[in-house]
Amino acid sequence: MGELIVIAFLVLALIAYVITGGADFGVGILELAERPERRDELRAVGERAIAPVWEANHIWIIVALVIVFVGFPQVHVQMTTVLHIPLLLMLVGIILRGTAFTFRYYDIGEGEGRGPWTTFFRGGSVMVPMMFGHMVAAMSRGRFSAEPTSVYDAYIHPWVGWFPFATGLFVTALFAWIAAVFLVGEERAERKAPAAARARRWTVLLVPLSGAVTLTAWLEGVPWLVDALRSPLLYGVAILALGSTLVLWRLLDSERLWTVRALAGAVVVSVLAGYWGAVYPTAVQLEGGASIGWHEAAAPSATMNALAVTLIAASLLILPGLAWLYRLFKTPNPEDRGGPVQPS
Amino acid sequence: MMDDFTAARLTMATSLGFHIILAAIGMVMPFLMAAAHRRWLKTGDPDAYRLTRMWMRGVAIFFATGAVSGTALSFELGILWPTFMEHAGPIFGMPFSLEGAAFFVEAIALGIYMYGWKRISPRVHWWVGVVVGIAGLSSGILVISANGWMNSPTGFTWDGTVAHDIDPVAALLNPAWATQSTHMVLASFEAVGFAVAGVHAYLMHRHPMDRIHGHGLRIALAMGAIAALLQPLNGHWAAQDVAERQPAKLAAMEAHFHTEANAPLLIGGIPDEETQSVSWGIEVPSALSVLAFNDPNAEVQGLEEFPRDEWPPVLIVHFAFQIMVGIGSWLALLGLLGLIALRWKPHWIKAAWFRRSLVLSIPLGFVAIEAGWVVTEVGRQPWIIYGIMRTQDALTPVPGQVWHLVAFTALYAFIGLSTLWMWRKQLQNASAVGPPSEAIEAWARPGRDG
Ligand code: HDD
Ligand code: HEM
Ligand code: HEM
Repeated sequence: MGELIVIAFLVLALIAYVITGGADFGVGILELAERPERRDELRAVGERAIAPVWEANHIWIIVALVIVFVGFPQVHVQMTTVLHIPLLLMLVGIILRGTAFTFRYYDIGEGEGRGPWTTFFRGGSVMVPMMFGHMVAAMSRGRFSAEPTSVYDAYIHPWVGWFPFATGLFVTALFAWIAAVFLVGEERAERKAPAAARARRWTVLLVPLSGAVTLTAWLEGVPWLVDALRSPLLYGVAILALGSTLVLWRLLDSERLWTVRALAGAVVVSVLAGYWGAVYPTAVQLEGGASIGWHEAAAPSATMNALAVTLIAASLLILPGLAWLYRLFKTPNPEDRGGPVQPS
Repeated sequence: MMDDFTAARLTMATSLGFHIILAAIGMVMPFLMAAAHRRWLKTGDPDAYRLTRMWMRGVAIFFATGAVSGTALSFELGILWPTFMEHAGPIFGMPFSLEGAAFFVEAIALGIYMYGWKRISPRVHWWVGVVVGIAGLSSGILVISANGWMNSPTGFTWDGTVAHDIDPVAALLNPAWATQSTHMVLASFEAVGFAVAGVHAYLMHRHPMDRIHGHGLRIALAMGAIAALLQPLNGHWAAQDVAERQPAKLAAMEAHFHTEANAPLLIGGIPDEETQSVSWGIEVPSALSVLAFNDPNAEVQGLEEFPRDEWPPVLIVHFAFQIMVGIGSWLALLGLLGLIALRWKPHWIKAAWFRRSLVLSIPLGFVAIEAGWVVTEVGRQPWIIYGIMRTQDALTPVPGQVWHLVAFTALYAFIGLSTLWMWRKQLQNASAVGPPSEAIEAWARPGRDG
């Protein structure tokens, strides 16, 4: 029982991270993709949108990590050794993005002095989803070698390839898309239409990218793909994702903030659930067909039960807090319409 | 080129040494902020408001850096020491999962506090600020339990390769936790208290007309002084605990090579592991026996009792211990003078000798924190889990750790320097922080005159 609860929390934390943390990274990606003369304006809106919430959103990745290292030590060992390089790059991204955001936001005066922070903020915002995508793909693609013969074999080969690269691009675009969708609701009335157009452009971009992920997975002979293509689950989530996207397309510039957010959330949930459903219960696919499963890798039940109880108790404390935070800052408020919230 | 083992240890030490400074600040600054905030709510003094705002910015900047460096650390444990985490994770996971909950509360409360001015009731708003501090303090106390477990592993049985009968709650409540966490909490209040007091002492001198610095100095000094007076007592308790649990660590702290009763306490001195002797030190008769066991006749084990390959690096541990205790004694003295000044001799606060002492002491508390951690961590060597697993055996198989070390040291140096530079700018602008606007006044203090 404890084990299943822990796995459920792991999935929940990952979904929450991709939706909320993903949107925060997405803001940086959008800035990078925006035409230079528009960037300042976008920056103001983006900063106002994420400043009160990004630190809370960021905790989800810590929760996910702690669940993995406490609950699934063997999976954690694989991640931290074989995927050592992308993990470190992701950390560099996390560190740079977070500090750069704060420094840029709090730097007083001298608009131009913010230059390097802006670069780090945007660079970090791209680096994290790229590496995140690489790691997710690497774990399922079956190139973890059991008996590596070279450093390349052991620590590079497992995560370098077209499928991980396509997944990295897809995750990056997904994060940007979430941000683009959420930002429409943060814009002033006269800026809503262009913001919605931007969100639609990102929607269009996601289509070929998801095709690329599937195609590269197929070309690489990723082991779970064939079964997944035959399973009704995949079609279920694909329909859910497509349906939500279509409705979202229409509602983007409407005033129905929470409907729009829920639909974007539904898209993310279906993407992640589809992927999870396709690979579960495998945690790490090794070369040659063997694999490490979540259940085999699970820690002893005393640990799992303690972890499950902690997670449940903690969520009773935290979910109301999060709800309060979001209600305060993510519903329209006359206080801050039309101008950036002052830092401090 | 440096070997992977050394590089990995240095990477760990650098990351932790960086994080701990921000963590200490994160545990204490919110309370300073809340103290100033409360004063403003009670008295309406606009300077107390300005101080609150200024300190709030400090909390925000340091929190962000603390959060990202902490995130890096939680990955780093596994990146550098995968074998350690594989075995330890399921046992000492409780502190980390509880700590995660505390982080969440802290981040939520900080968001609401910083951006919640005028949006929620002023009383609730103040309490949210207090919650930031309580959550920060709890996360610090909790994570120390993980470290305490490495020093006094409990809650499992070990068959030489695998752990059985895991009891995560017993691991959480390990015997080292109490001394270590209280000592660290006091250390944070002491270090941050004196650092903030020193900064305001300096600014008071630079901007004598701005009353904000006098307020700041007094609140921070009171906090630091009380902690500094308690710390040596607490350290004494910690030393007794170490004497019992990790006698080799105590012997290294004191460069105590030979077992003896009426053991002397060594001040200064350069230990030589080869000849097992110390040159230049001053010995205080029987004091070590008292420090460790409260009894001048007690016998204190020397390093000779332990196999040579179980000795921690004596010179480093001894040196670090001296630095910590030296600073602890100085700050306790300064704290005593500070309390006298606050209570009976207000003119001392403006006196040059007192100001200089405070300014000179700005970094000292943090130096003592670093030194204390060197004592604890280096003093535990060669063990990563005391008596169970050697650090060497926990090392990652991934080669090229030097690059990891270089990259992260550069990254932390860059971020550390940037943070300082940001702070300098904030402080230069301190006098520009404005009094409360009318809207803020009307919200926080309706119907009262400012
Ligand atoms: C402001 C910082 C500060 C100051 C002034 C002191 N300490 Fe300390 N000390 C720490 C900050 C610290 C620390 C960084 O917080 C440590 C590291 C691990 C821990 O739990 O606390 C520590 C560890 C530590 C240990 C090792 C505990 C262990 O390994 O389990 C001992 C025996 C002492 N201290 C003893 C003292 C004594 C006798 C002091 C007398 C003045 C003293 N400390 C002042
Ligand atoms: C909960 C808190 C902490 C945990 C879980 C922890 C864990 C570890 C681990 C796993 C290592 C590597 C193995 C080793 O060399 O012993 C280590 C080493 C080290 N840590 Fe800690 N640590 C903690 C707190 C700190 C802090 C706050 C500092 C501050 C400076 C610190 C300083 C060091 C140093 C100097 C080393 C290197 C020791 C050596 O290699 O000789 N530690 N720690
Ligand atoms: C004894 C040493 C430690 C103390 C006292 C301590 C304390 C703290 C505190 C008070 C914070 C809040 C952030 C802030 O206010 O700046 C924090 C953040 C953090 N710490 Fe540490 N910490 C220690 C060691 C560690 C270690 C060893 C790890 C990882 C294994 C870790 C992981 C984290 C993480 C993930 C955060 C970020 C949380 C957030 O985003 O709010 N800490 N730590």
